[in-house]
Amino acid sequence: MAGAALSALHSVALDERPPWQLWRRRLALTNAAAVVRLQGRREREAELRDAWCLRRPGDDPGPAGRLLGAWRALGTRAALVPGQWSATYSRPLEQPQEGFGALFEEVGRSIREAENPVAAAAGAVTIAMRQKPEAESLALWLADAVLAIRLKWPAPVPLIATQVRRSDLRTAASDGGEWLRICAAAYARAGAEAFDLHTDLVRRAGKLAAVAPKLRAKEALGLVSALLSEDALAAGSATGKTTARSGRRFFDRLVSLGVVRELTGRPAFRLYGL
Amino acid sequence: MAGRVRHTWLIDRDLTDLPPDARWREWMARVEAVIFASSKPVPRAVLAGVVGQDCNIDLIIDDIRQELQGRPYELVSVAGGWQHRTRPAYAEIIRASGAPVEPPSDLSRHEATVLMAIGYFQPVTRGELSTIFGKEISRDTIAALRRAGFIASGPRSPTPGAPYTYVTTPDFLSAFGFDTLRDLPDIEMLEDAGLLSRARMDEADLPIAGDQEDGGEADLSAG
Repeated sequence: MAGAALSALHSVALDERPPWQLWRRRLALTNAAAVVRLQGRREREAELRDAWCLRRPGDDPGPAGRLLGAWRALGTRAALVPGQWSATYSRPLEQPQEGFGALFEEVGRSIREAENPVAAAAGAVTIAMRQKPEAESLALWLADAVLAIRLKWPAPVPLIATQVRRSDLRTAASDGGEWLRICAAAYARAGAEAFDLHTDLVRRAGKLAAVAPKLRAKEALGLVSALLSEDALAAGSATGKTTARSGRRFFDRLVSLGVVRELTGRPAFRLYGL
Repeated sequence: MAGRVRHTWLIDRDLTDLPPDARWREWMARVEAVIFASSKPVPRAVLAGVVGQDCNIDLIIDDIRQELQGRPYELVSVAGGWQHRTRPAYAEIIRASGAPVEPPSDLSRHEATVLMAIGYFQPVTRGELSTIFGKEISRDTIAALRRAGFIASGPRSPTPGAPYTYVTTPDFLSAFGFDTLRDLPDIEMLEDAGLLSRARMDEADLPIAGDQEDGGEADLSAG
């Protein structure tokens, strides 16, 4: 079951054309929101997006925003290198993860030993939950990283966190066989959803590309390519040259053309994205 | 709070001159001594620095716990480390005795209540807290909680003036004996104690931390 969903996903995960980054970043948002909920925090996707997009230089995005940072980092090439996991995972969290060296090493060693990619990902969670029962977030992060390494994707795709419950993670530590079954089903669902999201984003990107030549604003090129790679943009933050006012006018034009959405529904502090 | 310089290389960790039994007892004693003396939960990495390379910390902790059976205190794992704690059964007795207890009781009742509200509603602004409590929450209260190390600034709120929100810190969790925010006591307890009013919370339109609601997310993939 996981095989079918993942093989459909495989072709789009290998694709390195836009919106490959936007797709991973939006999946990072949904996955980070799921992890935040797992931790008992109340922030949802909208709050995570605000924390990330509206912060000013030097601002702390807060605990939930930092977690989003870790999931955005998951969707980059650096997360494919076990030797860099410690830095890739903990730098956005701004807290050194003490005592995870042995865990990273053991997971790194286990990658090739598993029978198939999903078993490798499931095994990573089992190792993590047995060694560090408190490190639920890291366990889920590692699963997606390991899956991508085994499938030779150009960068991991945030997937599994949206589909597991806390009780599943306890099973991962206690019953490896049952967890493998749960994990395969989780990847089947997550893979199908991610595939649909990719299809949708490709369609939206196509619509944006179709109107792009008609846009006369001098910052149009930069803003269009930012829209194709970022989950959401604040009116003033897109490029250094854009003022909030001209950025907003530009985005509102795209909204009226039906190729960009305003994502917050607020009259102020608006955010735009595909 | 800069960490003190560690000199674990000065320690004979492997204790090869001791027979295995005595070595294990010495490792247990060291681990418990470090946890006992530390003012914060002690993470695994710190403990690993005072015992032999091939010493399994988890087994050491298990053995110490075994020894503490029957004592009124125990070793608990909080905020990514271990700490001594009196057993919950003695909480009433300790409170009734009036003996001065560590951090939480340094806060006034009002400050402690505001802290719990921040725990539930984070990230939350001072304005939102004032709505929740139905009266102004002063900058002094916020400053006191910040000084105690229990709260920090979170992201700015996307509301007029972009005020900072407040969030709780890992020290908050460890001082109150929580592993994660999921462990916060049921909000109804605060309500029953008359400390919070749900009607005012509804007015402020704030969801509550720890409430497991699935679904209801904005569906980003919808056409």
